Order: sequence, then structure tokens, then C-alpha cells
Amino acid sequence: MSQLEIGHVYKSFGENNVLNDLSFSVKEGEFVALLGPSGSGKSTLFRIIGGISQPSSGKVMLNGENITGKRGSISYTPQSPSLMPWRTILDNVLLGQEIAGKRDVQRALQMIERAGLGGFEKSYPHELSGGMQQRVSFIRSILSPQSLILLDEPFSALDEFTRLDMQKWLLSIWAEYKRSILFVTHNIEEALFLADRIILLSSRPATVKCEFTISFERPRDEAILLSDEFLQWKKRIHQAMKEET
Amino acid sequence: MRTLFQKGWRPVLVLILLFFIWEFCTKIFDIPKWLLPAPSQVITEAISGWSVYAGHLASTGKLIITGFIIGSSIGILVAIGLHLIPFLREAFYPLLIISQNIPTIVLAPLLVIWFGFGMLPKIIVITLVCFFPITVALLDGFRQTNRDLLYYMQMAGASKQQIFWKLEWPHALPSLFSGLKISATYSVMGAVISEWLGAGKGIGVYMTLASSAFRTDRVFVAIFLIIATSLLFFAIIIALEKRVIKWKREEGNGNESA
Repeated sequence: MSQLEIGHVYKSFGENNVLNDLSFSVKEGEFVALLGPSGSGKSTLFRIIGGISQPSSGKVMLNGENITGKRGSISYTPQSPSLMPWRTILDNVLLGQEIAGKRDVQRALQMIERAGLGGFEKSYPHELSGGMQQRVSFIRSILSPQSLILLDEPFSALDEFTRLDMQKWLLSIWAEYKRSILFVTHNIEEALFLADRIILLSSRPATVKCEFTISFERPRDEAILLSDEFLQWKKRIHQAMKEET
Repeated sequence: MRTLFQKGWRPVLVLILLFFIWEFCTKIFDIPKWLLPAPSQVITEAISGWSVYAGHLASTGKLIITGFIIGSSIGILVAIGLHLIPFLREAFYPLLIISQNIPTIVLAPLLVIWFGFGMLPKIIVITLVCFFPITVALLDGFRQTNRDLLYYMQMAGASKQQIFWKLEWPHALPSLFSGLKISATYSVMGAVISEWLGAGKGIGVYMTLASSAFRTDRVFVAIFLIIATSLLFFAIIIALEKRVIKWKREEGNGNESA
């Protein structure tokens, strides 16, 4: 059964068509990557899923419930870590729960420890590196009561080395907590390494170009990044991207 | 504190040098005391005249504190009101800006006619000069709230109240403090001006009395008292800021951008 269902979503700003008949789904516990060029309306799509923007037509379903224009059903992690500079790491991590109404400090401390950030719970975000801040932001999402997490190019600002570490870390955390993740990126390798399924978006107006089911075994090792199969996949996706233009 | 001393000794040295030049000029050119007293004479008067101006100083201090607290409270409330109710902001914000082109001094005589010579007209003058910098700074702070954080809060289903108290208010605190710093010095000026218009006690009164008696040394004492009071209030606000805004102290420019 699919958890998130985007059904024929259109969105236009005046003459400007941004989303054109966009339909896809995310299954329970699935890791789906949305791959598309920058400016293909991904932020618009996220705002529609998050309920702060209304689609021109179409609907968004979550667990069989219509959540079009309804807020608070998903957990969003923006591109920048977006931590509150005046809150300590612990208070930042608890923000999602606080909005929903209940704080679970014990579990938060556990998660911080698990993420290798033990001892930092009383620190302020500016004392942490970019990768650490991104981890905090992701823990905040995991601890939030919502079961679907939207990740908006979370690693695009990180350097190559940190990024690979973060990707592996994300996979390990995801394997443990089994949330459904919708991950936006414009990096093919990142999508291949992380996702169960890749949804390729066309440039504006965005529509689903094609879908790939990635069958690499889990848990994934970084060695697959250099395997022939991986390169084959990369080629196929590259070709699919070219066809559209 | 140590960096203050490290950086502060140069301007202090310049000031001391200026005082020496002033002292020598009054001696060399034999300038009469009623025209320009020497710094040493001003200092002597400042020490020996303590009992004369202590009451005035206390009265002005009380006036400044009352006026500043009332003025900044009104400034904060007005900013919150204008921020939360867009209709009010559109209606009142332009008028607020225009109202600042009216010099407070020209309003003061009117206030005296309406409210007499008591505390009330003086507090109104201080409130008028105080609330504007605070309102504008705070509104600016609210408006510059980080977009990403706002989207995060909205998507997480935060109510308007939660967004205000958890995001917009703490985000605007540094702006509020820059407004408070400006207002603190303005309120000292406002207090002295309002006392010139008529009061029984206060540094403003002490100053007018001194000038009409050609006690120029006392006029200088008054000037230095006003400067010292201004600096003191400014320092209090900075100390308060450091206590409240712990997260900003070592922060570079990187984190707030986005």
C-alpha cells in the first residue's frame, strides 16, 4: 500500500506552468529520490505536499487521507540545516515534538548520542560544523511524530568527503528507524546510492519523465559506487535525461 | 572587558590630551571663568557641588527610567500589533514614519499647555522619542525572519502563536536590542529637553539655573553628567543584551544567512 500519493497535480503561477500532471507515490518505509534539474519546481512541489501552497488542481493523499492544503502531516528538512540559532542542540532536536505538543527528552538524548553528537546537546548550532548541523536537522525530523520525511537537497552544501559520510549515516539511521523518505537531489550518484526508487522529473513544467527501481542490495557499501552495474545505471539515467531535451 | 582596555586607551589618551590643551588655553589667554572655565575648575565644581546637583540628578534619573520603560513597552507592543495584524501595519506604518518628521521640541509646549508641569508631559515626551526606534527595529527583525525556518514551522503544523513565540520573537531580539540602545540615549535627551520647559527639579533645571546665573562651570558639570548618564544607560542595555542573547556572541556571519 502506498503511503504518499501525488495525484495529477498541476500548478501554475499566472501564465507560468510549474507542475504539469505530476503523479507518483511513496510506499511505506520506502526511500524515493526525486531527480530533476534545478529550477524544475521541486520547492513548489514540497510546498504543496507540506500544505502551505495549494495546487491548481490534483490532490495529495497520505495514508488514504486527503491532505491537500493541510499542514502538519509531513516533516520537512530544508536545504540549509535551518536550526534555530538561539536554541541548544537538544532544544532544536525537540522542536518538531514541541510543535506537536509532547517532548521526549530521553529519546532525543539517545538519538543525539547515536548520531555521534554526544556532548553537544548543550551547544548552540553555530558551534557545530555544516555536516553536524545537517545531522541535527535530520534527527529533528526522525523525532517528529510525522511518518513521512521530505529532504530537500540536504547534502548539496557539503564537500565531497563529508557528503559520502553523511549519506552512509543517513542510510544507517533510515535502516534502523524505517521512515518513508522523499529525497530531492540533482546528483545522479547520490540518488543511485541512496534510493529504492528514482523518479526522474523533466525540466519546467515538471512532469514525471520515468521511474527506475534500484535493486542494489541493502545495506549498501560505498564499494558499489565503483562497480560496473553502478556505472551502467548511471549511463541509463543520463540517457533518459538527455531524451527529454 | 580586557579588549575594551586594550582598544580603549587610545581614545582616552586623546581625550586627556584635549583637556590639557583646554586647561592651558584658559590659563595662557586668561579667559574669564564665566566665559570658559578650565577643566580643573569644572572638576572642582563637580566634586564640591555634589550636594547641589545630587537631588537634580536623582530626579532626572527617575524620569529617564520611568519614561524609558513606558516608551519601550509601548514601542514593543505597537511593533507586535502592527506585525500580527497586517491591516493595521498598512494603515499606520506610513503615518508612523511621517510622524517622526515632527520635532519633539515643537510638541513640548503643547504638552505643557495640556498637561501642566508635572511628570506626565515629560513622560509623554520621552515616550514619543523612545518608541519609534524600537518599533521600527523590531518590525524589521520580524520581517527578516528566516524563510526556511518559517516553511519548516508551517509544514510541521505550527500555529500562528507557536510561529510567533518560537520563531519570530527570538529571531527579532537582536533587532530589538539595537532599537533599545538608540532609545536609551534618546530618552536621556528627551528628559533634559522636557525639564527645560519647566520643572521643579532635574539636570535640565540645574542647567538653566546655572546658565542664567553665568555659572558656566556648572553648565559644564551638567553637560558631563548628561553624557555620563547616557553612557551608563547604553552600557546597561549592552550588558542586558549579552545576558539575553547568548547565541550571538561568538557567531560569525555564516549561520544567519539563507
